Amino acid sequence: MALNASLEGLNRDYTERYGFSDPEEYLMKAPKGLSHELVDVISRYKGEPDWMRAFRHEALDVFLAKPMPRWGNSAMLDAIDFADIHYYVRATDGQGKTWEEVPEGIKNTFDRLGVPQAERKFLAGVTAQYESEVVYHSIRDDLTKKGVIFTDMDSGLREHPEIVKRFFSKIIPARDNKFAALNSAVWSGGSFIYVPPHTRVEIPLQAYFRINARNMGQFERTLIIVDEGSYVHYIEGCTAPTYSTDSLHSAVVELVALKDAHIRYTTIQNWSTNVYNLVTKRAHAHEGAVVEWVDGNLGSKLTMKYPAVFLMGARAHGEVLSIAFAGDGQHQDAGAKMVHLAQNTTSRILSKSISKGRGRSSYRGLVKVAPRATGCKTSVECDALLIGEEARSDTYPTMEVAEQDVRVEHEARVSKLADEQLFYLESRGLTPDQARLTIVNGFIEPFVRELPMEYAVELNRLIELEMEGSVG
Amino acid sequence: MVDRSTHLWRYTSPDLFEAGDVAPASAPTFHLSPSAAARGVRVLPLHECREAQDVLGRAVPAEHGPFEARNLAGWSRGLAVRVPRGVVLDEPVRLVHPATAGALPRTVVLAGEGAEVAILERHVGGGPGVVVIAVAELFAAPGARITHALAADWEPGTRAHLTSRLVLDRDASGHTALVAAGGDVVKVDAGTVLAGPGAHSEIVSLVRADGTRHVDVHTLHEHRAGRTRSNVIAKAALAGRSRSVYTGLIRIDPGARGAEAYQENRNLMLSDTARADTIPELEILNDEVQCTHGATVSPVDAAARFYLESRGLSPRQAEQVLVDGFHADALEHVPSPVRADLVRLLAAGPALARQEAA
Repeated sequence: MALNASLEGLNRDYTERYGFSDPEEYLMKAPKGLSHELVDVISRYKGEPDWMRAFRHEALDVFLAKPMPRWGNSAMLDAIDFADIHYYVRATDGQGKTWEEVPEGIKNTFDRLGVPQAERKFLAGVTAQYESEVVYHSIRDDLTKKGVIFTDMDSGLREHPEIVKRFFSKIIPARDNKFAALNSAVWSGGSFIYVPPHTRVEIPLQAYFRINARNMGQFERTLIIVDEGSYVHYIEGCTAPTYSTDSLHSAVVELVALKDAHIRYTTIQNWSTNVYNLVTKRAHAHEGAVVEWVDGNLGSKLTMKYPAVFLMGARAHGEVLSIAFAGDGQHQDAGAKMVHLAQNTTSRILSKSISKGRGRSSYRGLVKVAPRATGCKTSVECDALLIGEEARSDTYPTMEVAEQDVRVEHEARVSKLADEQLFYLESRGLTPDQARLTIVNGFIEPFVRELPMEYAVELNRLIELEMEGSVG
Repeated sequence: MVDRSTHLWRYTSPDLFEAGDVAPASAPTFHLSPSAAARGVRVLPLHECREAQDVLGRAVPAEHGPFEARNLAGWSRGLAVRVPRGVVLDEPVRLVHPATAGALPRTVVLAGEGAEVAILERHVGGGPGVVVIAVAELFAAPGARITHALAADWEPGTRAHLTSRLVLDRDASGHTALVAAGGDVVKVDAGTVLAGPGAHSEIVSLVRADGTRHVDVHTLHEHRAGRTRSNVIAKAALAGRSRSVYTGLIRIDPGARGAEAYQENRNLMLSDTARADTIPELEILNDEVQCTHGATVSPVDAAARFYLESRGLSPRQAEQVLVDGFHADALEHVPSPVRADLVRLLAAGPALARQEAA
């Protein structure tokens, strides 16, 4: 098989490829636990303006006051021990502008993960975050000359306070939900991007997030503003070592697509299966703007993530294309939200999930059409594939429609690998494993073809690893 | 306790059904054909039927929820229907529960092995300030067929919460047909448990609302056994400032291998101030299943409306034709003994109950 041939020689499992860990030598590692003192420490350490420190303190109060969500996987959520987490860990002093400036140990980590090669090959800019801080950052000169800003969020706050203050937490306020509040209180790192009017960033910008320490909490904060008529594609990837104790990743990602702008945001989430991934992602799409979330969830213990597009201006379009893969012990609780607030806005959600062994994947989504948002069209399609007698798949789509002149459609299908398809492929000479992989690859193909080639290859390889030994 | 953060209460406040005034309950009435009576079919006051007492709360226990617990604790004028094994009835058994303030009507239906029965359970009466909490439990023995037509024909002003559970044993078959045409605030939780292998269930829910009516329907198909099949068709036609909520869950347990389940929810928006919220849910816990669901919200077909009006129908008549057409295909799924009744109830709602009473 062509696919197998192209994948030969690649590493065979997560532990080998991503699951390694570095010795924990840190410049600063805050003691475990969460408090107003810790918020002061982080804020002072970063030399932040007063408004940001006040924002953090207020957010911490919100976090402490808000109860745990009573929906979703409560058993897993309630197992999080917030007192047993390091909320801020800094590994290096300063940030590398060239790869050589990055400290040896961390450089090796990202070398092993293939980040610098990826940059050389097909990226216009890269940010690499290790624990709480961005350790490496680069952007092509031609983009800087065009006025494109691509930096880490802390530098963004320092160097572009006027833009940050205007948009930061305006899309996702701290009180949006418990985990957005937690992120708001202790955020560190993440990307800040501004694309000036009428500028196309033709080559993707990328961020890579890595958790290394045990019981670590990573709380990056990303803000992307794309001005009138401009375009950017942002890609993020994430991995962590496989420890026996749990880590927490709770990001907040805010996107603003101004008039006629176009943002594509691609995530390949491949945390190790001891990471709680509780993320809030939301975009505002103004008049004629397009926002696309391309969201792949393969790793983590529990992911709760529902990328949202608020369609604020007429003719805005939102799209979520997602796949989730849940193996033994994993729960991918992912989905999408489309909120139609203006006339003639359109949206489309295509969600594909695979539950294997004792894995569980849930689609949870919202489509909302506000009063006076006439002429809206939205379609939601969920496809679930079950592999194994104990696999579980849930679909929880919510549609709230307060307008007459709209078209809202939702469809879901749940099925297992079809015996006749397996039989056909095996009769053509494929082994049972190859036959299964072929069907799964066909199932996720609509997602994979939206990825840049290198990511598509990587994803296919990951699926192949997950599918190994699934017969029997 | 339940509140607005409880899943099935997201769009309807439980406060609406808190007990208010209590008036003496009025007796339910029923109609049973003489031939059915001659074959041993019985309709009895619930407190006089020992078999029904034995299974009381088995399908809808107190833990189901606070309102179900209130009914179980306080029901007074209940009805029990008993159909002996092997008895097949062509005529429906008709039950009428007239609502008074604080009413807690309860119905229990027992169909013996291989029996076939259609129950038309109508809820009428009520009025401003009247709160009704009703429960129905139905049990189909192996091979039995129960059709349960449930009509919410309360007077305007009534607020009502209605829970029904139909439990199907091996190879039994159930049809639940819900018509919600009356009452101001109506919340229905209609579910069928496919407990025995080979069981089959259909649920049809038809809502027609205008004014400021609020109708919240939850359907449940719980597949507990293998080779079970289910189908749901839920349709709501919404005019004025009315509001429909639909939450439909299909749950397939690990042991229910070879289950097939389908669910369809369609909402027809007749005004720009109506609102439709819909959550069609699936929980699938094994891989040997076939399961799909679909939901749509859309306006009346403008071309069809134009055509009807161009043929001389008034806007109101044209809308009536389109709404009838919208509900028609779902009614095809309702077994014939009660279909004609439901068509009339859907068109007239509480007005029909008044007319019949007069």
